[in-house]
Amino acid sequence: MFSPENTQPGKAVLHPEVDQKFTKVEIAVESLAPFMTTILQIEDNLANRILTERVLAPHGYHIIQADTGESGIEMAIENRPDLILIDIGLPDYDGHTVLSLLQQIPDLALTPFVAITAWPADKAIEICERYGYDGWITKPIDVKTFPALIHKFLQLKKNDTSDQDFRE
Amino acid sequence: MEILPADQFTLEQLTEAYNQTRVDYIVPMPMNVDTLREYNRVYDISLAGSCVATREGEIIGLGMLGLREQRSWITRLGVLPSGRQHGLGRALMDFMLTVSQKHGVPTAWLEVIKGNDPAHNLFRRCGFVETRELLVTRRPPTRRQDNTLFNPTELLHLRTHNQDVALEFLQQRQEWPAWTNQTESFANVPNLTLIEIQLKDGSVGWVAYHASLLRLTRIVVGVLVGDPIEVTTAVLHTLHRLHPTQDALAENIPADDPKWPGFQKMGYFETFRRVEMVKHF
Repeated sequence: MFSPENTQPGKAVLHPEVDQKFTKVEIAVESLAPFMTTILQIEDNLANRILTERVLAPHGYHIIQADTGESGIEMAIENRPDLILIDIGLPDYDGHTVLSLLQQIPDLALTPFVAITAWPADKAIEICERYGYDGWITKPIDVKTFPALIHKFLQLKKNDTSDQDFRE
Repeated sequence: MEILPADQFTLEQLTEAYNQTRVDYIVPMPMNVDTLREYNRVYDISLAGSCVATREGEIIGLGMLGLREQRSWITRLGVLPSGRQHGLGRALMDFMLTVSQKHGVPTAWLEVIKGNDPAHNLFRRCGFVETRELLVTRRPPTRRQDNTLFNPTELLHLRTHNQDVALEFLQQRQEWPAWTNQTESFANVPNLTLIEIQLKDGSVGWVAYHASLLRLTRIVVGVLVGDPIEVTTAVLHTLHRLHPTQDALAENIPADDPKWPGFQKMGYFETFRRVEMVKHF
């Protein structure tokens, strides 16, 4: 008899009738994760925000965006995203100041913070290390590699997500 | 193409144009209307002396001019990428230099980010010469205070002063500060604070700063008695012990300032540097 209790952890099993009609397909819960993964982008440039949405949304990410440091802080606290992309150059508080505050919020302790910067590589590395970013991406964004980079950054703090809820 | 005084445009137009001219800049420093308004107020920017270049009704470049007694300051010069290589930068500079001369100032000052060679060369062609390099520095907040750098038990006295006293200390500085750090700039910043310390060994130092919820800015250190490095370390250690959670920005420190190693000991690092230049009329 079909019983949800028979499912393996992390896997959903089709009803036997459905299973008989179609090729056996195992839908791992983990494959649903992108549809529940929220990325906050703090970026003042409209064109860059549009580009990010267009490149990442097809991969199932839920993109939320803020155009100032202050609104980005509010959205981060309110939404507890899975990843935060921070543009260094913001018109009110720059990315470093935003990061400095967000790092002090316990609810965001497992959230990777990634700088989006036009700095040369050597300077970007120094700044990221000093401030404690989890990584950086150079501008202009390479649309071909961007999704893979995002996936990589999302894995950074996943080791300690045993208590994390799946968001609706 | 026309060069017009900037007071013929709204702050919204100027902000939008400024951000467009800097879209490919080495160091991104976007502004919004509020930050531009504040910038103009603090640094005594004259919009009538500042200028905008237009082509077919569209803004393609701008420059801003600060005016104080006996000196002017050229800042925020920018030309849209599509408008470059047509002499526009020189035209904007000529406008502001003409205004400066009409005001009777003997010198005009500016800073250019080191590495911005096209702008640097333009300024040289306009008759500016280099004076020194200025550091723009940052310090992220740290979780723990390192008392091996400075032991607070060495403090003999700690006094906190308000804006008026802070301005008195700033006015008595021996060194010549960059425009952004001149006493006139600080006089335009509300809620300035100054911490003055005296150590058991007789050293005396102070730090002036502005504290907001998120960060410390306008940081200037003075050493009255004692070793510049040790006193700077002590005064900054005290500052960050009082404000442990805030990001810090200390701007336009002369690269050869004897106090700079004290900043470095306390975790400040250089993000970029500017070349200060002056033109004598």
